[in-house]
Amino acid sequence: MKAQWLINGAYIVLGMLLFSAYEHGISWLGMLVYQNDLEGRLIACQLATKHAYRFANIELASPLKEEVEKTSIIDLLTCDDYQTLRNKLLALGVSETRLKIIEADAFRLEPELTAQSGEYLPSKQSW
Amino acid sequence: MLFTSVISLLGLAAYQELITLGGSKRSLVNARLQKIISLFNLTPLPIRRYEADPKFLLGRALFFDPILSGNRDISCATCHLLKHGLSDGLARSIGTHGEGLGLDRHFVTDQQIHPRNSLDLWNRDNDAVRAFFWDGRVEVLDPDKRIFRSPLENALPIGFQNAMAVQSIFPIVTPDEMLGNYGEYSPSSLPEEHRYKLNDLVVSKSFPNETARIQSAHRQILHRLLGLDEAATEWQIQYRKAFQSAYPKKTFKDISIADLGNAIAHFEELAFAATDSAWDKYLAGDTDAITDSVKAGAITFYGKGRCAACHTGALFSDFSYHNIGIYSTINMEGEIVNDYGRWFTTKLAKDRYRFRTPPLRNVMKSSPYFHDGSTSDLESALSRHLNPIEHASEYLPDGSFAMEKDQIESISPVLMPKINLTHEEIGSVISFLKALESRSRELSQIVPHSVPSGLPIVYR
Repeated sequence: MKAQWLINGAYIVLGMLLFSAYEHGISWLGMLVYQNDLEGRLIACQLATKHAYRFANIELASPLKEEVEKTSIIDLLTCDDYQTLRNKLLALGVSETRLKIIEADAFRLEPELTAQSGEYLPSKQSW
Repeated sequence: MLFTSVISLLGLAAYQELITLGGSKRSLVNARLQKIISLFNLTPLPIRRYEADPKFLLGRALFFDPILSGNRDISCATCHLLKHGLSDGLARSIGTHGEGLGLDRHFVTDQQIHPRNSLDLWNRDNDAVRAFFWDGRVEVLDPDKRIFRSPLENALPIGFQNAMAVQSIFPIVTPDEMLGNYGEYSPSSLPEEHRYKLNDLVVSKSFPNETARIQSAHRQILHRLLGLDEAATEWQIQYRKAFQSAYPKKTFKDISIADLGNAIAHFEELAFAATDSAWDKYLAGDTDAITDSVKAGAITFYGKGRCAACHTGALFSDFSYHNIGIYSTINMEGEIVNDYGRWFTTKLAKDRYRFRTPPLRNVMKSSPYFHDGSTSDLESALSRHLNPIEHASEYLPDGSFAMEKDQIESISPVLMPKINLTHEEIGSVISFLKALESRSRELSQIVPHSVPSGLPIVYR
């Protein structure tokens, strides 16, 4: 009887260990598989945001301004992709700290995100 | 056994979670395309009904007949070949005094080459079309009241049905396109009735102004086509009949240059309707009409690539004017000369180096690209949009920076900052552009067996 209790207890402990290993393993695997994708989506989102902001502040004639804004709206959808993947990685147990470290490193991969503002700025001519 | 099963189950669960983590790519792409279709209000081009009515037949004859050219050696069709997407395959067109077609075309005498690339003619009757020519020298000011701006300004005759008809009467009065010059004679290789004929479309060496020159040429064209009085050649009588069939309420003496333009435009509308592209089919609801690569290209085209900022609407052009940093053109002597584009029409400093956005339907066939035909393939053409300043220095043999300061400063801000597209993204945009290709009408529906003048039709 006692032996049976011990066996059951061992199964429970083993199950807990396996579950714990699964939880850690899945977050590790998630990062292994999706880190590059996350970085890519982050950079795409940041560039889209930067460009959308710039175009919103340039004097463009109508209807060019409206058309540029539409392309910005589509481009900014990459931010949804990025946020979706980020949330899923968080749900899988990847820590917020780890994601932030990866994101900080990702900025360095794209020169335009680290360029001084004013570089490549168009003239003030009216369009 | 139990342990193995548990591990297998966990592995399966992990695999399932990881797969779903990235989301279903296909559903994401489709959702994004639906957003694009809704945001840009995209609809398939309506399919035009083909009907060879008398006006179509007249327009077809005029489009293919070299009799409209001063030296009887070139027709409208010469520079608008189906094989080359209704362009001519050349960087810059060879007008009168040329021989051959497409890439084989060459001058038979020393002449000045036309400075610009031949534009295609697809769907130019579409409401979106507001301007013609690279510099927009023919424009629609009010489509309902049929008010147009043209080189004839206030002297433009009334009666034009659309801007396409207005456009069609200008290449025939441009010396380096179809008109030729004063005192020239037609080639000796033509049928007897047409060889060694004086260029009677240019009646003087000089005219008081450009309007007078154009009006004179238009009068002479009608005179040549229809004859002045009751005495007429056999082929002139054929043209009289063709005009009377197309315009039953008019006698041949009432026929105006607007009637001629309207007939050519009517033919072009029906003959050069591009409507059944894979992209149009997708927009009509056939979700399998385009590949994943085309879908990815469409998303880049309408989003990150910013292509749709200017290449917008049903024909993928805003019919507006932009400087995208295409430097200039090179003349026959190999000198680099500036082509100020839109400036030639408006004389406004801000319009220097601006050119009308070319439509993109059937763009795969109409290389080379840009107003000076300086780029032969689509990948290079795309690259020049992505970073116009980088490519400006490629023009001069010594590698120096060729673009003038005022041109650099007036490059469209849509292209600044530079657009970062990966090689894969460029490839997908090209796939998308390929999906804009339409089946054209059959050659037999377009090309006549002969034209009234009896001049040879060279068009294959």
